[in-house]
Amino acid sequence: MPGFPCVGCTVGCADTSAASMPLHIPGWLTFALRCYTIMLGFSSFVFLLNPYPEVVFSYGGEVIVILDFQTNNLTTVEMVEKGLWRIISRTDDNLFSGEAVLDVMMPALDIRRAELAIKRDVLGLCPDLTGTSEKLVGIRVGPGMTKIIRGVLGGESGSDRMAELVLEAMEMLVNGLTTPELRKAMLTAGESIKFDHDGPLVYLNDVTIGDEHVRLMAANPRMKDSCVAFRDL
Amino acid sequence: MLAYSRMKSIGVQKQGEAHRVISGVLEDELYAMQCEMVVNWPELCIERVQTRMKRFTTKRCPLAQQVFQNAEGWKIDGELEGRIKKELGRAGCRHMAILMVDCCRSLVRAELGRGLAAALEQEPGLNRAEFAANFVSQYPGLKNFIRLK
Repeated sequence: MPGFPCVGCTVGCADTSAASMPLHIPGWLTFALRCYTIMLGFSSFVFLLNPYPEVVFSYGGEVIVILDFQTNNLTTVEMVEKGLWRIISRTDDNLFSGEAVLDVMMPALDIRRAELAIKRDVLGLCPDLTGTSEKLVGIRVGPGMTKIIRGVLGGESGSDRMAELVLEAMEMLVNGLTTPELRKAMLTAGESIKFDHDGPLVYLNDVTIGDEHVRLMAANPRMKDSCVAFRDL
Repeated sequence: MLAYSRMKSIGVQKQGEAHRVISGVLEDELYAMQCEMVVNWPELCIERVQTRMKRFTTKRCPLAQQVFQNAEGWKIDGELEGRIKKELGRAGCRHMAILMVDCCRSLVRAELGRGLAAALEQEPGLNRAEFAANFVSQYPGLKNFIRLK
């Protein structure tokens, strides 16, 4: 191309200074790539000089700030020995971090061992929970547990966040125990939920529990009218 | 091997002086869902709600999405948790209701955290517990909702 000589090519171009190169790279393309590289370098330089790294974009004079607070919770349920479940529940946000570990024995589902740890308390408001975890031993996962746990762990002299963490652990054990039955119900009598209209592009599950099983579940007094799935059945 | 695992993640961001956007996701073996909200601060009024049921157990579960829009116009206060769980959880989805409560609680904690960070820059030796107490006294309706400890 006039004005922008080729870097090198093997396809009969007039410039043979770099004839060993296997590809034809026209001069105009080289020029464009060089311009792009310079612009990229300049923008990186500006980014490095930015005194407010959290500020990534400014629009109409108003500064738009990216995510500035996060809460992450993870609860895992695992059978560590025959009949013995270990549930670990963790929470982490900008102000607080805590972990609750419960060992729960089947079939009574009573807590055999509990560990509570406050790993970060930015506000310094949490009381010392030493000895409190022992009070959890013997409490059963089941009806009434919410009131008991809040009574033992929460309140003015306790930690409401740790109480909620323990309750989350106990509830997830219930979910973990329910999952095999629900899986079986889906495998044996599941119904396709692919809608003819307005469905998502990607289905995370394309089969749900069949109507008959849903009615059976809704007949349980604890489930009846508990959510839209079990209402008016 | 794990029998069950639930992850919940919530993010809060500021959009202008008077708006906060909260996005929450929940994922486990049985359920996957997301809740997004726009809240006016300091009015503490929920202006927009968008929920999506992504993994669920019954074909009626997605009907819950419409129910949660009823929270538009509600105010974040000490009654909110019970109201969301009773009015939206029972008519919609209990798991989504808990996620929504967690989103609102994260928003309040984010406001406190943002204010604390700014105050600590001015006064590194600031009494943090006192700062938290002052924050709560500005929003008495949040006292029983925020759960700081």
